[in-house]
Amino acid sequence: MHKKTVVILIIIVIAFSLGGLAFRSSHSKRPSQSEKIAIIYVEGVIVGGRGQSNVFVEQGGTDQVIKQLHEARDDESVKAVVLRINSPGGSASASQEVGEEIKKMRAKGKVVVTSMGDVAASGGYWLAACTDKIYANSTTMTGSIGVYVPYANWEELYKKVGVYQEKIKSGPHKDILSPERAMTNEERVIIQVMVDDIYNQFVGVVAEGRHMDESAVRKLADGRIYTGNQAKQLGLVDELGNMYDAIDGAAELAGIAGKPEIKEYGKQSPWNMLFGANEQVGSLLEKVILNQAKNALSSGGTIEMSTDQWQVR
Amino acid sequence: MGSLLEMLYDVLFQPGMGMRNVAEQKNVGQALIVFSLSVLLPIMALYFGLKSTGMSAMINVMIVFKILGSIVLWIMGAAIWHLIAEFLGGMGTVVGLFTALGFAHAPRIFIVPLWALIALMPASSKPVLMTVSVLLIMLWSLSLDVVAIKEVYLVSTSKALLVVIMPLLVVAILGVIGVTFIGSSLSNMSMWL
Repeated sequence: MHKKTVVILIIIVIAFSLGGLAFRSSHSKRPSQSEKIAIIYVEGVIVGGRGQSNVFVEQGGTDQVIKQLHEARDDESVKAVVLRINSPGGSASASQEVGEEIKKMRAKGKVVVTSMGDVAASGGYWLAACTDKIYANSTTMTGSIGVYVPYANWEELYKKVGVYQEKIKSGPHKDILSPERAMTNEERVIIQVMVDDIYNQFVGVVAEGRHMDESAVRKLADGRIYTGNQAKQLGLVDELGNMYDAIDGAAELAGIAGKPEIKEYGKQSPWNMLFGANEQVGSLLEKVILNQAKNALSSGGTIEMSTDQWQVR
Repeated sequence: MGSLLEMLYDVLFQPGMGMRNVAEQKNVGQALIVFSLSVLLPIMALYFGLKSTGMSAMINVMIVFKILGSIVLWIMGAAIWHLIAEFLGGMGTVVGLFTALGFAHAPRIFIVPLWALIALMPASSKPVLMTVSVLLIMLWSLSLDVVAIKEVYLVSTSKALLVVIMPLLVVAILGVIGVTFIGSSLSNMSMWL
């Protein structure tokens, strides 16, 4: 009887404790009421699509970034967004898509500030140019304003291994950029016109975002990369500083008094939680190398921007 | 119900006798009830705790991890410890150990009142107090595991302790080896300067 009484007493204490915890959680001040700064990460090669998304992690594919920008835009408590860019570039259309989303967010009155990580070049810079203010580390690699279309001609190799591929085409340029044959002069002109068109759009985005003359941008936009330090001197970056400087800058621009609350978007994988920065640098390095290798070997069809320094020719 | 409450009392406060009874009766159903309450009640406390800190996005993942992890550890613990105990000369059944290990989870329910008390403490002392409370409860639970093995396999306390810590030692050694390898491979990574 004594034993039962003790256990029943324990059960009552536990029930009361649970009730107390439940009451406390429902009456505690919701942090969502305060003014927040959202941090959205753009990491790796910028490509369109959904990327990888599961219960543990969301990565790759600008659809995720756009979704996060939408969520931040619709969240009334989010007053500013810090876009943490660690990307060597990627697809022109994917960069443009995210860039347009950033512009819509700014049009709604929200501040968007860029914090550049190790690399924020080419497509990464396209996104940065669409934001209110750009922070970079002095050693960040940025710039690479330019466009290229990768093309490889494997005709001789195919001949050596005895592969002959024939195509029945609806038009003479349907297999443009095909690796089985040399590009014709006419096709070269077609591609060059496309590259120039996208380049002009890129220059326009930078000129508009950075409040510079197009002619001034064109002088800088020969595809070369700059350090954060050089970029600041050339007007491509506003301030030198890390992510927390960017957060402070965003808070100042948004008029947030006191210490802002941070809301990070995107899931982090358990692997990232365990191995953090090392894994991130490794992954970025791997993506850059893979992307360059893919560009060099691909048969075309996608238009990609990249840092010339890493281009595999 | 009466028998379950008395058995629970014995396991918590007279563990030697309690575990002996549990091992003899091999009532897996009762063990399952104790195990479920011991896992779910702290999870509910954790849920309320995370909800109040605004970490709602993590709640579902953590709950799934906690429940699955506890079930897997219960089943695997019984299997592995049974194997080691028999290897070291113990005589007992895996069902007896499985039941006893289910009851050994019981101290975890005390996390709920402890966290409720800690919630009233100053914010600066909360992390330390929470860590200490969880460590104490885990130590209590682990000591019940030792008693369970001792009573199920009728071995000495030192042998039961050896059975319990052997898998942990193996995991620790493998962990050290793994970390050494990962560390050496990371140190070879290209630098960006």
